Amino acid sequence: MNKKRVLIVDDQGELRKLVRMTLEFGGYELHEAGYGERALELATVIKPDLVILDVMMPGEIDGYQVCEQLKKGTFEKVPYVILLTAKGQASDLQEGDRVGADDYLIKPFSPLQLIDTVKLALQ
Amino acid sequence: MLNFKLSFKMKTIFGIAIIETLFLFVLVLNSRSILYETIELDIQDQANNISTLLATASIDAVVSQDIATLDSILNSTIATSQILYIRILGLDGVLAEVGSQHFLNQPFKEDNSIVDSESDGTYDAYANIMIGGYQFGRVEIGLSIEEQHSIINQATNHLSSIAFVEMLFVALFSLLLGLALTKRLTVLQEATLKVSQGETGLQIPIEGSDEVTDAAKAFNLMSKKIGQVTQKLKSDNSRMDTVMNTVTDGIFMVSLEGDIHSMNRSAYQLFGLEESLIVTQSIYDLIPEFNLNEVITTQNKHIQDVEGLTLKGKRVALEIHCNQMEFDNQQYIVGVIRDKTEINRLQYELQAVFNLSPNGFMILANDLNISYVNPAFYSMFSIAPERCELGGNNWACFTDFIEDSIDDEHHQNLSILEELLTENVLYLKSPIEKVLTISRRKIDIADPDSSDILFFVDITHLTIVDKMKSEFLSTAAHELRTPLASICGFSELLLLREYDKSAAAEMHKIIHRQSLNLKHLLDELLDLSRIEARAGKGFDISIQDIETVVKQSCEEVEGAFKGRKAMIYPAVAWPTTLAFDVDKIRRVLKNLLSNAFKYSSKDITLLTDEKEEQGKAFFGISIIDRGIGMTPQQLSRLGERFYRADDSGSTPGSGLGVSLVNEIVSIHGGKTEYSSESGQGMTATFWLPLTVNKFIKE
Repeated sequence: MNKKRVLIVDDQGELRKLVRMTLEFGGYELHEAGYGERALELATVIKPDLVILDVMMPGEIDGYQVCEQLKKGTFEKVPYVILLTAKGQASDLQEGDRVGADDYLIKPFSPLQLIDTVKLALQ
Repeated sequence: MLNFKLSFKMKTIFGIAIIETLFLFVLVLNSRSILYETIELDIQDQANNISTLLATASIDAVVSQDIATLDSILNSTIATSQILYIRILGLDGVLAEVGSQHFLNQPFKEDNSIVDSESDGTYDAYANIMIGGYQFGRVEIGLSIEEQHSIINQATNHLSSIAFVEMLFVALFSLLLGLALTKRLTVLQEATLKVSQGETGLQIPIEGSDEVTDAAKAFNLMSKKIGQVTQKLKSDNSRMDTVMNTVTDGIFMVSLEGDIHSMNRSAYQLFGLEESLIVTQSIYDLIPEFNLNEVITTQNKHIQDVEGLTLKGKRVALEIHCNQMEFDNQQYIVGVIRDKTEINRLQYELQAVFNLSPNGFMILANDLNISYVNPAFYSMFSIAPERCELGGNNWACFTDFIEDSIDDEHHQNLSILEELLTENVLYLKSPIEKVLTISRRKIDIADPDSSDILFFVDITHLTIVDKMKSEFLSTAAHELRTPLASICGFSELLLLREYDKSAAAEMHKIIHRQSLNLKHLLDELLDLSRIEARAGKGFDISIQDIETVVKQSCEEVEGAFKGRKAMIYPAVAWPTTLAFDVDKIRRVLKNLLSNAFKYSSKDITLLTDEKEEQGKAFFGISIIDRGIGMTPQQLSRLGERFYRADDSGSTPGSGLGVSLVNEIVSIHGGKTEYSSESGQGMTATFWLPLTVNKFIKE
């Protein structure tokens, strides 16, 4: 059985490192992207099962737009998307629902919580 | 003409007296004349008789020349006392004579009347002594007329007395008659005088039934009528006066030459004149620029704005309505004046208020004409005032502009009128986005047909501030959560799992760095809010040595970036009179120098400069790096809170540094400038005013 592919999208390297270190013993194939466009490029190549997506990112497209494209775009395999947000306001969650996000994690999040959420998503 | 001064009474008396006197005089004269004639005849008879008798008696003696007999006859005859003398003449002269020698000595002259006798005091008569038709002599006698005279005088005296008494009685009667008559006439006269003096409705008592009574009745009737007419005139006048003096507008009446004929109370008050003052002034004294000729010739009857002068020399703004009228065959100009000073003042005040108001006002008449908008309204909708003028048909003009300005996304399927009259918030998109609130009401609440007044408040700033605030809070939370996510996450991992030494050390480093980041973030956030909240009040701005501060700051920052240098090139000399807050400018320098070092790998350059802008001199310090620089888009967001050109997380920083720099420099009255070309490095310059700053402490 192939390892599940997880794409970590965050503009902050340290955050990506945190997610990677949290999930490194879970038996996943981990990929990283530092901005939205890169995430979409990678997604077409690696066809991830799960995308852990930061909402606030610099560049042309933010996390919501990435999510929308992953969910409603022309991808063969629609990945499970966990939004990583530092905002956590009702309006942000609504926006997440709109673009089809499956789950949320609000910064600062507990690594254990992240592990559980990822496990649940990939079952 | 003395007669005219005599009263009627006196005239009557005099008239009667003259007539009486005349007739009595004639009567007395006539009576006297009759008496004379009677006496005369009597004395003639007597003289003839005596002389004839003597002639007869003495014929014989004369013929005989008997003197003795003659003497005896004469003596016996003369005894009659009335005979004054007797003389008998013969053919040869005096034969005998007797009597008073005085009369005898006088030459004889026959008297035919008493009047003739008066020359010698005796009535002389003679008789011829005739015998057979021959004259032998003559008898001459003189009779005394004393008695006759006495009778005549006595009779005259009596007649005169009677006439006098009669006249007295007549005079008395006529006086009484006159008195009675004139007494009633006097009453009439006095009453007439009183009427002429203004007493009205006077009635006199009616007595008797003669012509004077009729006159009195006629007078009473006339007086009553005059009284009624006068009363009516008076009440008309007083009503007119009341009206004239009650109206608040001033009313004046002037001749065509401008002489004031009359004014009402309000006009007196308006010009500060005493009402008791007799008006002799010219209207030009009160309204110097009053153009009467224009009123007369062009029939321009409404003068909008003309200046009046009060007694105390105060100027008042007047509005005048004029009319030419004719009274008593004379032309007058009647003017109604209104003091517009107060109205003008209010108008100017209101105008100033509306002109200064940042809020827009529009008055929309029922016929869809816009009768008023204030300057703020024009500017809100970016309408040049000369493009859409007030008054007349301007609705289409205004609505074109309003339509262009309105953001259709917020206002769909509504006409401009509906938008103006029903919407509470108006969103504008052109030429800049604006949010306006509209309140409206009728000018006259009681009249649904009155004009609408619309009140626009630009709440764009409030909306922006509100939006910025919530964005800021959300961003601040985000920025705080980001380092916290690393701290919480890595520390939890360290607790959960065993890591080898180097991995654990790396994680500890991250935790430490991120907690420092967090601290720095909090510090700058607090600093910024403190500076902002106090708006420079905590600033200690005084003349300081900028050179030292710059050099110290450079050394300090260089220490954190080992081996790299900030090269200072004072292109203009360091000013000695620059006023600033040392700590705050140190912070500015530190932030800008740190940024320059962080985003480049080489030495950086520091330049001094000077410039003059709008008459103010500024001293500038530019910090130039040759690092990654910024794209125009990044540059445009510089200074936004939490904005970081490099969000990789690899460069420490809060995203608040430039905000802080801008804030501090702005409070000093200076400004900041940032320029860059991507990949070519960055130049940050801050200018501080060289002119004396208001915050300077001596």
